[in-house]
Amino acid sequence: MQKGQSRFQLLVFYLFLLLLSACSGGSGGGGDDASGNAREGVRILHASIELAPLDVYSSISPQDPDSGAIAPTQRASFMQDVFFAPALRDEQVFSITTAKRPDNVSFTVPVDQDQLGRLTVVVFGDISTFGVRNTSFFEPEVEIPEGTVGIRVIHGVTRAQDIEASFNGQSVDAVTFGGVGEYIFIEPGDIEYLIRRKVDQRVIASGVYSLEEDKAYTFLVGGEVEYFVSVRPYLDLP
Amino acid sequence: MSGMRIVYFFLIFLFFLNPLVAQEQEDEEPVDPFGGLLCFGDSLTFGVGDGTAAQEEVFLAPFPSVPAGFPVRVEQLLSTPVTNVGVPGEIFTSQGIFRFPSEVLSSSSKFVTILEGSNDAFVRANSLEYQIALQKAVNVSRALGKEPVLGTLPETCCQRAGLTLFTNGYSERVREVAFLNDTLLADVESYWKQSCPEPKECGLLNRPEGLHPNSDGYDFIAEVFAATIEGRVPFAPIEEEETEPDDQEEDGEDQDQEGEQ
Repeated sequence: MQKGQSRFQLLVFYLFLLLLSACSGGSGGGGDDASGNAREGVRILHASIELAPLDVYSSISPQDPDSGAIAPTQRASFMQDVFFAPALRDEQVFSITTAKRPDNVSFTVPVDQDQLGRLTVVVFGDISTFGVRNTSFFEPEVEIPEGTVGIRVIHGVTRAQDIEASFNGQSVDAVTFGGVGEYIFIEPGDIEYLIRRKVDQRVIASGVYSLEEDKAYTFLVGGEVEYFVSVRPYLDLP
Repeated sequence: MSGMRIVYFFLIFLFFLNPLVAQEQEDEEPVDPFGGLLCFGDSLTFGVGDGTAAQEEVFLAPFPSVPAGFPVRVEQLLSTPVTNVGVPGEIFTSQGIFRFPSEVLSSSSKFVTILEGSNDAFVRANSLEYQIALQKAVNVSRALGKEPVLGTLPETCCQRAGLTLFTNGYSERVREVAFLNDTLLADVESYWKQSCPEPKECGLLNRPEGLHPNSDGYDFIAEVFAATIEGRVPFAPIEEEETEPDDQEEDGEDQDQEGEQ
């Protein structure tokens, strides 16, 4: 009788497994929500709509022993995701080149050994009218008030000398072409943004992004007014 | 004991049911692996000249009255919905590039094919200007989450032979932009040259009009685009040809020279 019972239990267990396999089918696995930002490193924010992807090389990156080639520290495309790519802590020169063309150097950014942290390089402007420009800076130390999200604006959109922005109705100071705004701190969640060209108050972009608390973001505004404007948040901290 | 039989019976039933359930789940998944195509371009995308045969003498390429050109063929080859937004006569560098964002914005397709530049050759647009416009289009596509598929331009002939100098220059720029951006490249021009080493005798074009492909030409372009998107080599060589006797190979060469597909 006991033998029959255990057999029965085994069958029920098998039945359960079968049912489970029949009913399952959804995709598994969750995403790693780690920021991907290196504590010390470099990133390129590419806002130039006419420009090909860019590579950044460090003068002290090790060469491949076989080919002698140096791998780029980072490749960045127009308004696409990038993180701070890890870089060695030493005196060095970052060269920003056309992607896959290491000899085609657009500009360089020298870095002293003392300057450690996170280096942001912004590429903006265009080829045909205003010229391609760049600015670079080390990310400041920012304290994010608890339960808020920090937001700032980088203006990389052509055909607008200054832009104004608001986030959930809260305005930020106007930002000049190629400039970096100050952080504001607001409640996290769905953040509605509105970007205007200051001179004529024309709305050049609007939308919603969902942002997490205790983080700081850069809203990069890139492209060309009256053609195509793109806005994207980039995680600055932590 | 009868309870055990019922359980056994139920298990056997489930055993056969399980694959059916799995099959049903597979059926529920999207059948279309490509997610649709938006085909952007000029008359070569619209399909002007389609419906004519290689041996016909065509001085003015006909406008198709039904969906035509390579997009409708790619739709069949890939079994994915295709939207043809080709505008005949459009110059890419001064007109098409300004239309591009709105077309991509209003499309739900995953891929955007770009095949345009023949009319730029008429106005002798600078090839660097062409490359900048194409780079812009790639950037817009990707910023909107669409994957661009760049096409090089088929060679012209006969009454339009003079355009080839420019279209070949644009095709070089297309290859460069595709390389720099790691986009898919439908290298129509390269395959076209292989098939039509002698442009004057090319059976893929309306002749003597010399600019717009005929039905065979659009079949040809569609194959290049479809193969590129599928990740296979267009017109993959048939292995049997290698084992053919020499005399038959010579016959094959003769046919190739005639440009027949």
